[in-house]
Amino acid sequence: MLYLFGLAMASGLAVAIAALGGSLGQGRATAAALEAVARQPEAGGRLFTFLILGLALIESLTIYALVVSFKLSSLLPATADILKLLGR
Amino acid sequence: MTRRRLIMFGSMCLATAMASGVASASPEHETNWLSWLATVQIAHHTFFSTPARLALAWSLLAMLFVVVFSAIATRRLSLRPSRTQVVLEMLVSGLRGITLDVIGPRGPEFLPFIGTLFIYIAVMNLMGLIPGFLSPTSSLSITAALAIIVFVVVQFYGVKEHGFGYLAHFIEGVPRSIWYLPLGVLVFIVHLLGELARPVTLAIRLFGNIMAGESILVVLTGISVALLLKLKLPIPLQLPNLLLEVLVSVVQAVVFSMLTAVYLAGVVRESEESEAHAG
Repeated sequence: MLYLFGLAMASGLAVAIAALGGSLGQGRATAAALEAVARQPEAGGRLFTFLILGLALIESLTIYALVVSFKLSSLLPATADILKLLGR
Repeated sequence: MTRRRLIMFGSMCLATAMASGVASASPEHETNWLSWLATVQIAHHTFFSTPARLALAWSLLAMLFVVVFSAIATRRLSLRPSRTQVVLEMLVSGLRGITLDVIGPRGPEFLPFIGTLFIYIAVMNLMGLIPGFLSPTSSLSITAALAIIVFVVVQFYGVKEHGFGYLAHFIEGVPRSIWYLPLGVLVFIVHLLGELARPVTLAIRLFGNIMAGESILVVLTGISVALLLKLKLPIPLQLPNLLLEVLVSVVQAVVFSMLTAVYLAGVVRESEESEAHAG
């Protein structure tokens, strides 16, 4: 039972914690990009490319956590089986 | 009813029908237009039985589409370009600019590889957004195959440019003396792990993004269908996510091909620097 509890908690918390760090990083990246564009509006195109690339790379770390979460949640049994196990 | 309204209504009905098929299945086994392949037997063996092989079938479809489209679109190239030709030329020159930017003067050599990666991956990603279609890239097998191809190409060009001195760049920075051998071994192992991590991250990044998108679409479409059936409210809840997925599909294709260009630049540029130092 503790195993299942651990699986469920991990599967839920994995993405939550990863999203926390990821969104902080993406916020900093976007803030820096906006500041740079405000200083030099004509560099907007190149900066946009760098921004999108940077955001995608930061997001990929959150996605790794999502993949782990999917793998963990696929190990959880169906609710009907758990109820049968508990004898209800 | 006007023709446009008929088409819109018809496609919404179709999408809902598809979605009900999707919602009744588990997220791992979405029913799609090629699900019937799982029952096709060639010489008493079903080949397309697992989800990965169904994704392979979809990727073959994507390849077919890209080849046929390119063949038709480039049939009559002229100096007075048609609209399709203008768009395709913009795409190719954009890609060429990126390769020049990232890899330097030798960039256009790698344009076919990087361009194909971009177009193929973008088509595969976007395919999944059409109701009833499945993104091949939502299967780890497909993305891993692409990442392995990139890895092999990068290592091949590394060996091609530097010969077997390529292995020497793994222990860059360590003085070549016997006392530094343990440090050299450690640096070699760390660098090797870094090199091996690249295809892994490429594969999982693309797979995770697209699979997560599809999963979200499946869940939201299921809710929309339930809403439609129980409360008679035809609200497509998955629409905002669909639009986000269009952006994510294109961005992930860009990221994959741009990272490939960066890795290639890493192995190709070094030869220029060493030539500049020697000369």
